[in-house]
Amino acid sequence: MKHTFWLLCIVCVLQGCATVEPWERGTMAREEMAFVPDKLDQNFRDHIHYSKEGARMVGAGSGGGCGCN
Amino acid sequence: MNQNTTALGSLCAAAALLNSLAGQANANPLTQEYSLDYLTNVYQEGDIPQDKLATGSESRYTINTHLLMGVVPLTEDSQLTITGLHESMTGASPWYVVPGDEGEPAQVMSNATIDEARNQIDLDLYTYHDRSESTLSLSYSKENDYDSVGFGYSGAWRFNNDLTSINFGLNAGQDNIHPTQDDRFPGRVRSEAQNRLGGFVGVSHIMTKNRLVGLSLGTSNQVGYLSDPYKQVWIDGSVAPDARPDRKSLTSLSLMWREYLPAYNAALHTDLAAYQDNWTTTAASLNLAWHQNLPYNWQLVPSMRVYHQTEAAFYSPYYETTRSDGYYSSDYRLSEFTAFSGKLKAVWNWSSFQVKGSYEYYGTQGEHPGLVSYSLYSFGMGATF
Repeated sequence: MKHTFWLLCIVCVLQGCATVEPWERGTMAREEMAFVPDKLDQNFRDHIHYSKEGARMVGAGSGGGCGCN
Repeated sequence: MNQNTTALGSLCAAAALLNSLAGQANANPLTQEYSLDYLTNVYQEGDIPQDKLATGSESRYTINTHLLMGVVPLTEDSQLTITGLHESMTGASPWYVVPGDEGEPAQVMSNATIDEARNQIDLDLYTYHDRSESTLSLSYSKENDYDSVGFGYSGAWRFNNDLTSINFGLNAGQDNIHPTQDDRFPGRVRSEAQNRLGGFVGVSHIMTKNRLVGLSLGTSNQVGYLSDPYKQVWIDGSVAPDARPDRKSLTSLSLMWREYLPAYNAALHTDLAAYQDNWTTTAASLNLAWHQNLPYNWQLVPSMRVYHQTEAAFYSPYYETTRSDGYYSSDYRLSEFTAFSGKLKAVWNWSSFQVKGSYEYYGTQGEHPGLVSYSLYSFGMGATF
């Protein structure tokens, strides 16, 4: 059952794949389509979450700072 | 310590070499624009409720933060981003938890108001190549009792007619802790250090002209003093220092989905993340954000986040007996809880200027009496020239 669910998810995702020509990628250049549209704001929020929660996501950048208390 | 320093140096040298080999000059140069962004935040934690407070101050932390980020083009293919941060903190901090009259956990807070400041500087050297891009990052953070230095290298390799990108990176750091001494807690450590080394690999793909998806898997190891020198634990009537294992290995997985909806002139951001470490903490989060474009160059971004984590193996709000492994922590950050947050952000663009403001509320639900809730007010402005 669990495997069927994931298989269906993958099929649904792959159905959405298409060849996107370079001249069709104008939307991708929009600020709101970036993975991180506001880096300053996102880094600050990540630091708060790291300081107040047990999880620490691993990603790009060098990190740092205590964020204790 | 010397071995760790040598390892960090070797990693820096290897990444610098990788950075120089990552590709040739590109056919799609950067915009060659300078930019300057400023962001100020007021972070205010809610008071601890009286029925959950044993002794100490009910007023928790207020943090005022100022961030300034400048982007400087260096060549037609590279740019340097410099980010400075200054924050000042004041308030009371949770110390330990005691059992109440009926065994319910009650928080002991510090009495005196703590005043601290932290400064941080980050440097990111970004280079763009024909088929790849790379970033070298350095970071240094300084407080009166804590300093931290970090290093990161991340890269991306594009293929499949630039529709697909493989992303990868390494990061490492060293933190040095020299806690303020307090006569009430004679067992407090004087000087300790911890090191961390991690990496990630991911893939991102343009699925349709309106859909971008990314997946990233990361792992990290922390070694050294991983306890909190200011936290204590209650063990059968006595108070002892927080004591955690000196090694932590963690794995994280994140999925990012960006969908532009032309009919609404808006973009939906969906972020899913999962986390697991060898202290038996597992966590998952869901973040949804709706980026709505409006007339007159306004944009409104409502967002929400749900987060849940399980407790660490050695965590307990208080201990009625001693543990055979000697590990103790009553830190609320190691307890099981669920957090909910909602945020509303407004952005206004005019020519090359931008002004933005936001409000966020974060609340928690769980057994620990010291779980935090906060309000975050932000205001920022930026210019490109």
